[in-house]
Amino acid sequence: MAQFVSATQLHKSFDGQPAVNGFSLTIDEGEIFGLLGPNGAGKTTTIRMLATVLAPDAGDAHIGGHSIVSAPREVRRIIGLCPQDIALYEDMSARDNLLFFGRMGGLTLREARTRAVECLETVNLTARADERVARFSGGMKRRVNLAIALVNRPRLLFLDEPTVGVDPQSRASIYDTIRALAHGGTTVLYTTHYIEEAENLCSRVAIIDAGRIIALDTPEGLHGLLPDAERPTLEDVFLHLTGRTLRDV
Amino acid sequence: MRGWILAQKDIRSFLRDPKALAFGLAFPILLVFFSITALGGAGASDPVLHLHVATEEEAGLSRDILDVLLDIEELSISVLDPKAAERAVGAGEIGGYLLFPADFTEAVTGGYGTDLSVVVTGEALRTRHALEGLARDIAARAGTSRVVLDAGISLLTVSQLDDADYSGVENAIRGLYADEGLGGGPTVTLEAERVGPIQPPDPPDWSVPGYVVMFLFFTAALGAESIVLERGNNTLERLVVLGATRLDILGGKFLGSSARAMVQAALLWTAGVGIFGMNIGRAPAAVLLVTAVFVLTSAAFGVLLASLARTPAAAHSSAVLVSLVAAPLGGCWWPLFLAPPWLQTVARITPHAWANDALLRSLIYGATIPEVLGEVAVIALFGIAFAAVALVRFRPEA
Repeated sequence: MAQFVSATQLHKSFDGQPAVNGFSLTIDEGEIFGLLGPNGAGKTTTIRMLATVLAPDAGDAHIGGHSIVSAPREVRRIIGLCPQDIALYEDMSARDNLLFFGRMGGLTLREARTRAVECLETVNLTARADERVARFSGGMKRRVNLAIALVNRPRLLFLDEPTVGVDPQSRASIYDTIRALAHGGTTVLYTTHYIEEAENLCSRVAIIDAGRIIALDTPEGLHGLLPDAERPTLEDVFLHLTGRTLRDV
Repeated sequence: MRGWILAQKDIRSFLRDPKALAFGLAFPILLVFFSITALGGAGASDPVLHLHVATEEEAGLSRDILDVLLDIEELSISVLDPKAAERAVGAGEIGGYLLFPADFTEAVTGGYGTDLSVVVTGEALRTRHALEGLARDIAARAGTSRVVLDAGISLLTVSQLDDADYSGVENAIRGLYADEGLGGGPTVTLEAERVGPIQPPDPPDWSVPGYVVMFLFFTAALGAESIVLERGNNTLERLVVLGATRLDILGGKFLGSSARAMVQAALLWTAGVGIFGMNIGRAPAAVLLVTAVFVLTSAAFGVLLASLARTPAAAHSSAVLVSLVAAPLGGCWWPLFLAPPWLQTVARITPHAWANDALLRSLIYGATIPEVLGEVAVIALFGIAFAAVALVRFRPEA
């Protein structure tokens, strides 16, 4: 499979504190790649750099052949971001949110209307399309948040903890959507706290701590990092690699 | 294009928000209403102050002056006997009176000093000020006449006559005055002038422009909050990922704020004319031009504020603080000419002062577009400066 994302030695510091410290990886086209790490490990900063929201202090990444440093506009044309925090207008309906972000993403009004309908179907919100988002439950808002990231048909989708605080039904709906997208050729970079999510969804998982990747393999391959344990789970591996110290960030 | 899409979204949000509509549209109208109600009776509808005048002369210049004063429509004057006037003041029946002395004509025509007396009770401040003003005016005009008389005599003397004839010339001139029926002294005339077709301004003419300026700036400055909220809601990040540039975002917010303020301006001017009966003036195009440029400058200030504030609360409180300081300083709460000269100078650091000047000149004195272009240029320069700093400072990703 063709390589779609290639990051090389990305660095980013805030007030002298390194948040991402020599991050490198490659992701294949159509792959669901998991980024697992404790709080403050640098997951969100990495995604924000790859999504061209933050400029790296050093290093570069290429997405679909475009550099995030020298060609951020080209990169933006092929990516979609579903941020960790819900990013939509609560005083507007789900449909109007999709229309607005579709238009801001460069779609014509007709295209945006069509995509709004398709995306609402994808996240199972057609019946509530014209209600104000402020009335939605947390799970429904998360689904709208995801739908907006899909509106301009991205080839690479960044999903930053998209299921935080979501009920099991909405979570299952989001999983189905992600699997369908990957099946259709969309590359997904998925960050999460929920280890079982990474285990079930992702073809490969990177465990990140202190801004750098400390392990990268398939979920099964990561299990092999604890050869002495009987039937180790990914959580066992994660705790083994990142320690049990609380990360209050 | 993206900027316009963003502006349309903001305008729709504004129109959907009842609180924003109430604050931006209804509240200013209510405030103007209360202000005008409080000022009711001020301005052109003030009652004319009635003045009393007495003279100790049986005939002469003071009687001529009184005849002239009584003929002036805009003045309300009664002539009293000096003793009656004194009694009336003592009894508190009148606030005061102006008294011409018995030697008034002789003193004025003879060139030596005399006194006009203003007799008032302690409480009658308005009467005292009015009578003093009248007395000063009469004294100045009488003095001028005396100077003219002396100058005429000197000129005739130097150019045509020798020393021996001085007194003869003076007598001849006095004779001329007498022949003309001027009571043997110089003529004193008082004229009330009204220039052009301008009507005296009513309270709304003064107060509505100030409130319009204040609220337009306030509304546009609060646009800063909208930009910072986008950051807080993470939608700013989303806009960047979708390809919106700094110019798209600032331009969109600028257009949105401007459009909201334009709607507000249209409504306030309409209410000013339709509800409060203000006179839009002889040059409504100039009023519209000043309003439009001021709206754009205010929106640019909102964008500037958004580039400096880190949180919605900071943006909101800064907008309120600057608006509430700049409004009275810039003459929105009272006409600037009532302020001390140093404050009038300081006021020029606000675009409000320039806008208020231009609007009042247009509304009350009928200044046309070419006549307010200076103020318009200064207001526009404020806006350009605000926008330039905002463009340099604003970081969508920060």
